[in-house]
Amino acid sequence: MSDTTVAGTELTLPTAEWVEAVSAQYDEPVWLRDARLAALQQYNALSWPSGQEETWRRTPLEGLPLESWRMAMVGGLPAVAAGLIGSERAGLLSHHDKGASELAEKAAKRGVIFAPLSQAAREHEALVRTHLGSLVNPDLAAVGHARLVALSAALWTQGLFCYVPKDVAIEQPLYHLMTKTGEAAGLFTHTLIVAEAGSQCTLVEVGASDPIPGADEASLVQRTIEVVAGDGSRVDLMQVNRWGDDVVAFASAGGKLGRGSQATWGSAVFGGRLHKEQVSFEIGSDGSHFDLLGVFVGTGSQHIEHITHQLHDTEGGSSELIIKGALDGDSRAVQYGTIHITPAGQRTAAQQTMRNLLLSDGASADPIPILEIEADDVKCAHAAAVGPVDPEQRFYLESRGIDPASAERLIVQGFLTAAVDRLPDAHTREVITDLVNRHLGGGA
Amino acid sequence: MVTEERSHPDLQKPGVVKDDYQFGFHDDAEALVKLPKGLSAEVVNTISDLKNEPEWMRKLRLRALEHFHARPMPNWGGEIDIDFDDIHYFVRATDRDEESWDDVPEYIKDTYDKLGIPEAEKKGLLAGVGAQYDSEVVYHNIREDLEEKGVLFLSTDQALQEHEEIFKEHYSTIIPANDNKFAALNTAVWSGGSFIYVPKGVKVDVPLQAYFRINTENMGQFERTLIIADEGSEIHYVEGCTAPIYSSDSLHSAVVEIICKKGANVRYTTIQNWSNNVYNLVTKRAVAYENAVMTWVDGNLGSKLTMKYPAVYLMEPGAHGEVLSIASASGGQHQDAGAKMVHAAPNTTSVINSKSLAIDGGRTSYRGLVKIYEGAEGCKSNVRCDALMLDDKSRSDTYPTMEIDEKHVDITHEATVSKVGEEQLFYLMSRGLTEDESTKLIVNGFIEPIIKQLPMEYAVEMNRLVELQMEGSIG
Repeated sequence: MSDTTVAGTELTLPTAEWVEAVSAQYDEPVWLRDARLAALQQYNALSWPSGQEETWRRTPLEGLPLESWRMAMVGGLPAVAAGLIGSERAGLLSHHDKGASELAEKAAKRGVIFAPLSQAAREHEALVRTHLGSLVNPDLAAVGHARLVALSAALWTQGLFCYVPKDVAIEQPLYHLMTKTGEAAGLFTHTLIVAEAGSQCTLVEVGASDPIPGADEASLVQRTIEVVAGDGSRVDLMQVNRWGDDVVAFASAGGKLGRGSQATWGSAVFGGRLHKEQVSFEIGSDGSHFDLLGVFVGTGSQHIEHITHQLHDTEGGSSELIIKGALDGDSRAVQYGTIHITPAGQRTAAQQTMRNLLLSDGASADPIPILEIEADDVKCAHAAAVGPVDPEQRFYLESRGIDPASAERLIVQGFLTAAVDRLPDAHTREVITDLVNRHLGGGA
Repeated sequence: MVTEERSHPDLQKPGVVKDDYQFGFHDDAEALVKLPKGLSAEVVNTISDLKNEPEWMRKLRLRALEHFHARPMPNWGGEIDIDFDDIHYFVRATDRDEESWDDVPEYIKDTYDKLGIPEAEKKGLLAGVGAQYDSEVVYHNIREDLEEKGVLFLSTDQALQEHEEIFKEHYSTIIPANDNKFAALNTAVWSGGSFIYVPKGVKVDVPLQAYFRINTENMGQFERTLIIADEGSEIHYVEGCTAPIYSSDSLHSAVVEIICKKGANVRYTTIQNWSNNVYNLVTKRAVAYENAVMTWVDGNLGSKLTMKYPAVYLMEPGAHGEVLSIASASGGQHQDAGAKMVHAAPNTTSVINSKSLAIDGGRTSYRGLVKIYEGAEGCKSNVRCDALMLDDKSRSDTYPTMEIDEKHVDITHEATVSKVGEEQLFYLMSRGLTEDESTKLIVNGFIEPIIKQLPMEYAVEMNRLVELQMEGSIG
């Protein structure tokens, strides 16, 4: 993967020339270039969030690099990415200067496609064209998100297409690594996953960049992720966010689950000055289940925000959201989660749990679990809590001779475990456990 | 008397329980003063003139009118379709408020006789009664011994005339004129409501009570209530609201301000049973100082749309706030109710317990806020919302917000939405009860924790009102 020809362009608003250059660089078919140009037009017609929108009221909008960036350059493998990619894997797509695109031979033979999105758009036009932008696009995006979604639809450079044919199960995880270097960079990515009926896959996506010492210009990342899960399929998706603290990272994810299918959205936030993910999944019927898991440790003046939507528009599905975070320094977390059960969503079971542990006086958390229930035969509950480390637990550990810092670390780890243990991919669970430890000041 | 209104298509939707609305009578009374429909500075000036108010109040009203015009309609909550030009902002039924029941004009007395107010007062169940008919209070009485102790219980208009100093000191300090669009409207055109002052250390042992009734079609009722509980005092205030069924919508937009000084204990109970064409858009807020206890008990059964979120601002250590509420919505109704607890001082505590029933296409929403300011250490807040859905046409929403800026706190929120359990039903029916009886029992059990907080006669009334609403949907 090399730089786009427009990389390093001056800090001006994106133009049609940029879009054409990106499209030409990746040798894209005309329909895709036209789709990008149409998205740019939408971008120009839309406005940025004003801060009045219900899902943007709590986001610090001041100083966001929404218009002060140039297309991101691709550099070396970030040091923070080391160890994040498991060695036992079925495939890897890595966007850096010595990037790789590999897929296990066995999977390829069975018809699995795991390739850069531009390449897939050329080679598998019908498939990509049917699904690209079907679940996340500016028209569907919530108020305030639409312009970011349009921007990334016009200018994404790090794309992935992952296709698993009917009844094919990929045992080992697939990895997708996205990176950026340089100050005031704008990075836009697009991931499209299509899992046919009865198929199975695990995809771990890592977004990473090294901290830039003394950087005073923030960078902008917008990621778009679409997940189409066929009847009876199983798709486990894991997001590891390891951006440097110069990065303002947005993500918009949309998923649609077929009848009886299972899916997981796992998200771990260990970086970025601002992280705001908007995750919206429509759960299928008859035993379809969706797990939405979030784990984070906030430090410094980090702002970590989850906007989630569990939509049940058909009978007999279930979903569970668990977000657990510890907040240190002056960090702040917001969870704005909605369970929406329409009149068609009878026999649904849906739950939300949001728990925030405040480790310092400057930390704060606003959990907002929302229920919108239009069917009566449902089981629905939510719980939210904010509080400090339980002094009794601390006392217990300290009375056993454990020093206060270690005691706190142990308690926080125990607190996060319930969510970490449910994240996809054993290797990633180890990575997260280690990151939790390091973010709480423990040794590597 | 209401046969004509019943022919209105909206009121004939199957299952709508309008027919059971027992307060649906209206008096064919000619009002003494009825300002023409519409809202203007002229209307505001006329109201102020009619009431012979001091100049500062007129100015405040006019400023509030500007705030009202400047503010957009809320873009959240329920659907509000109000033509502000099609409302009577002031209707006077009698030319003064009476202290003896016998002096109240016959047609008004009739109305309240039907509600059973004089009996309750005679039986000594109440420490005092106020009754408001359209814009103004028509009757006010307080037990002699309380009056001797210095307790004031008057219409707000009368309080402004007779106790201007204490009135001015507190009025609009808790809910400023520009707080929200409907508080601004109230501040511009307010009329009636209760003013209560309880002196230091005085404990009023039985409730003070007020009834509010809208009798005029296309009427806006904007009563203003101000309660000041001085240090160590105790008071329980109960209000009931009714209106006849008209074919066009009415607006009730009250503002209630309560000040609980150090160690005071105030309980404010509302049984809101407006007819199903009243928009009930109310702002209620209390401040509680050191070790004071403020409790809102809120029953919302009537109205077309209610948007009401009683608030307690906990200003000093040891203050405690509670909101206990029941909302029930049947077809065509939306109860968007909730609570706000603002912890502005350390070691303050709050409890919100909300129960809602959605029946026959009704919609209930809980909307709440728990805010903990930085430095408010040792606060505890527990929020619990339970919703019961009685059929598949109804809808239940929960919109809780927590804003926690302090670490040393204990904040929890829990909510459930469920239907009447099949196992519970089966159990009761296997004991020989019919399905209807079983459902009613389960519902009664569901709301019981709140009901038992009500004074006896209200508990009975509340149970009956909930049963009436259910009869429209089951059986």
